[in-house]
Amino acid sequence: MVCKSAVEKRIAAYKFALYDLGLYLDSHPCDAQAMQLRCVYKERLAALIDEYEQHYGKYVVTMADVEDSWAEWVKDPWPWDVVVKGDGRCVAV
Amino acid sequence: MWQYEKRLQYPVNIKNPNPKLAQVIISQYGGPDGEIGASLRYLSQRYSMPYPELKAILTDVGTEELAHLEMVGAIVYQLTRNLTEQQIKDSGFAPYYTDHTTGVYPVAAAGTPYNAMAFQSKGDPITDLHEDLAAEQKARTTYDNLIRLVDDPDVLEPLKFLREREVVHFQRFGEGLRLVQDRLDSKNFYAFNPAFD
Repeated sequence: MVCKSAVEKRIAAYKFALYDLGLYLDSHPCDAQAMQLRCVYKERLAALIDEYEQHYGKYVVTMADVEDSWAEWVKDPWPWDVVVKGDGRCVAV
Repeated sequence: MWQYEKRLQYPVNIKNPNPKLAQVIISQYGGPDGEIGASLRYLSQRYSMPYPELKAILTDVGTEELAHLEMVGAIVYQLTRNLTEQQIKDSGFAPYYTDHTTGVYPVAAAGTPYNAMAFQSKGDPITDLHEDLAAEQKARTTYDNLIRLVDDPDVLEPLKFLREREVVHFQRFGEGLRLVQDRLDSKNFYAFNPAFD
């Protein structure tokens, strides 16, 4: 099974790439090549979130992502909490 | 409006507390060139900015600075976990501890609370963008100074990420300034306030 933190890391990487591309597009809004790349990244991000949800349930990072249980939003860890890793080391996917 | 994402822009997971480092890194939380000042600067300058590309850049960079504030807060919080009395006495953390225990509060490395005098919102796009370019360089210099003081890789990695973002923002603001200058006409050769005059 794919390691949870490795999928989360790849999701974060694509979200960052999309944000940074967006910042470039702010000053170059008519750059068709950058818009094309954005489409590619968006598709890959959606595929990664699907992969996450197949194994680990709903991907909840905003209040709007919550479906059934509000405890999914409230629960630890919050972003500043130290995540103590178990002994099983993750293998990057 | 804004929507919170319950994650950091770049991971912060620090195994070893170090209150000495926390006291200097907190300057990027509430110091003169820190992230709260950066966010307030850009989000405040947006209103008088007459060009749509610049409104977008100021909004998006100002928002990213809030994510950086959260990262710096996480670094400070994690560096001050589980402190013993002896660690507080030995690390020079006692003055901060006296007023804030281990709560995260916006101060500079030397202890001065955050002050909005550290930035301007001048209502002149050219003036404001020059301030923004300088601000990104000042923040980059501060991260360079901090990186020299750090040898824990858990602390170094997020600081290197934050430093890199200052470089990218400088680049984006440079392009923004060029967009503004391209729109000045021959009657405004000396770059008087294009938002007011």
